[in-house]
Amino acid sequence: MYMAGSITITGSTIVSTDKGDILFVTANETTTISAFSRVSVICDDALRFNLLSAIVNSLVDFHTDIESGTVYLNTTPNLNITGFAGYTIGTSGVSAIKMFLANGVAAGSFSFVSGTNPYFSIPIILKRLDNTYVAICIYYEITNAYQVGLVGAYCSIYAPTYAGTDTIPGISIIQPEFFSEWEDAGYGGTCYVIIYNSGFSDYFSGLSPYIPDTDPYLPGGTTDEGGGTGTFDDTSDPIPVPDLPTVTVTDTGFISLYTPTLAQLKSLATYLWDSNGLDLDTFKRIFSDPISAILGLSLVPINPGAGTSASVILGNIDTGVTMPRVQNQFIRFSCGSLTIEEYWGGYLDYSPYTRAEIYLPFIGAKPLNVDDIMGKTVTLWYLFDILSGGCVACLECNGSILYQFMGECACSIPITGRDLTNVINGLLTVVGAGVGAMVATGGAMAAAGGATLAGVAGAGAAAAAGSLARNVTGMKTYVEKSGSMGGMGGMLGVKTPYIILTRPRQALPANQNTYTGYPSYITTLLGDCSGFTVVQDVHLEGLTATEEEKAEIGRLLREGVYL
Amino acid sequence: MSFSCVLQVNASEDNRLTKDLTTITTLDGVLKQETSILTPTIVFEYPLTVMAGANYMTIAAFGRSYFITDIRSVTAVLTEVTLRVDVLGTYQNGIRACTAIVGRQETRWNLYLDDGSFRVYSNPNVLTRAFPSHFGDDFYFVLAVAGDQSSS
Repeated sequence: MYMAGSITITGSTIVSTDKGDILFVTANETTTISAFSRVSVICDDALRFNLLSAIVNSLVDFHTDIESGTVYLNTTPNLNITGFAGYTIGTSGVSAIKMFLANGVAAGSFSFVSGTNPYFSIPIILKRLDNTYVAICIYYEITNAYQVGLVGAYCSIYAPTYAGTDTIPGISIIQPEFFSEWEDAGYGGTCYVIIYNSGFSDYFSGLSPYIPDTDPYLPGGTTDEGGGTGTFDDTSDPIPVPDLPTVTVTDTGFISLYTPTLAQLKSLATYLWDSNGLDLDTFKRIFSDPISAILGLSLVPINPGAGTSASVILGNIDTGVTMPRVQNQFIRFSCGSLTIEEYWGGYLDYSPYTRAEIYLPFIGAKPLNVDDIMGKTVTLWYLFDILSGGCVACLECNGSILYQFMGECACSIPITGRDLTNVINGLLTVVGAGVGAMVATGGAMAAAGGATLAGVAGAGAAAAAGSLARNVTGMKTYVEKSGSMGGMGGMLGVKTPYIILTRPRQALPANQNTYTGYPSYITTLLGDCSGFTVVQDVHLEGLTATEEEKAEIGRLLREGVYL
Repeated sequence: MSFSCVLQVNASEDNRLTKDLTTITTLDGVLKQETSILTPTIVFEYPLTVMAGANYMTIAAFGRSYFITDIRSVTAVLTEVTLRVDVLGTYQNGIRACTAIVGRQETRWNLYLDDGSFRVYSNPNVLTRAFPSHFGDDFYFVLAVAGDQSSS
């Protein structure tokens, strides 16, 4: 993980260029540069240690991942440095030009090339595995008639966002003045460029020569780092039970709804089938027969609420039979809440080990994802439409509706022969659908179960005494607990909603934790653990053991030890 | 050059850091030629019976503790003891100072992690939890009639 770092060194003159900021160290001042993408520093000999300290500290600050990566040191020789007129071998007293690593091993010879553009490129860089640059730090050492030793240093620290090629643009921002002054001062003799890397050695272990890629697939690109940019936003918007519709069918003026008592219905029936009370001539202006004015008669499981009573009018004929009007076409009913508590307090309480279904009156049994309800409070709501008989069951989990199932709550009462035919056909349809669903589900699950069984058969005796939890639960067949429970089925069926939990029974040997431990997966000091411990990964540090002993310790820790 | 060897009885599992040790005796021994510090062979000028009951040895001069893998009588008064270093016992303090990712643990666990090591019986428990409110046995008639009768 990269972090924006800051660097604090002593003395500063910052020159902004199109390639970045240059920090000239000229005086004992404190300068802080933060959130940089690249910082290049040139300083003189007296301040080189401050510079180094700043470099190292800043690398620690924002290259916290570098310890885990391999850093390549590109030791490609034949450096091409321009802008140093007079600094070729054999001129101005320069007898040799060499580049040294900090440990004194020459990485390669190079030559200064005279030119008018006083910049150079130097392909000696510290690279990460993803080819992003980390830093370059160069010390200039000169040996001539005037002095021997370091005369300056250059450092360029690259932020990880830089994804360049082997040509480091940061190098080109070294200003010519530095070298011009150097030259003007009459320095000559042997010139050394030292790549200082000992300061990094604590952080970049395992430096090895960078080998240029010759992979023909390389132009296609290499793997990028990615991920880890999630928001970790665990908030959840509440999805409440929907409000009831505000417009009802009765508002349209085409339909009127009554909730009669049995006696009132008998009175109406008597009126309808007693021709003395009905002016058929008038009625038939609108309907073919009186019964056509009655759109439906049904039984519903919920009290629709009795409004004002009124005489029933069929067509334009007042029957004289009074009954209360339905107060609400849409009704909401709460079945209350259930808290589904964990039994094991562990993974066995969740899928695929524990399974859940919900039985809903007038709808049937429906599977639930136990992960949605375990450890939560669930509330069941029903929304009814008295006219159509439709209902929707809404299951609310922790404030949000997660499940909605539709059903049929009304039981139609036939008042004509045609109505009875419809009822019977509807019933057959319901039964057929239920059977079909059960067969289809059973078949699919049987196939899955068979496949699992075939796999388990090879396990032999292991399956006899008890199987791995996931295998057992995986090969269990699922059978629907009910078909559709609408209409008459709902009237005759169970009218209490309930949740069915299928809970595994753990086969746990006594003191299993003593023998094998329980899953832990935590990073901790081993001294904070006691008893049987299986180590997944460990860094054995600070031990005076031999390599063979360390390997043995690592093996034993991974197999399990008693701490 | 001889060195002091503490002969002990280890009553613990080999894979336990802190062994349950009972000291039998302390004897001076010498290294056999061409031996390793990890699997040394120590020669004692004692009869085998003196150390026959030991299965563990601590040699302070080596800074290590050892399992005794074999005790062999060379002569009536010369016994060779072959050892194998007990890395857990020897470096137990250093090991405890190390940080690790612990996969399984006896007392520090998280049972929400499923590593596939648990087993279940084939016959689960099936139970029901009823919602507190339910529909009654009473049903209500609803009569739908064509036309607006609100004026009546």
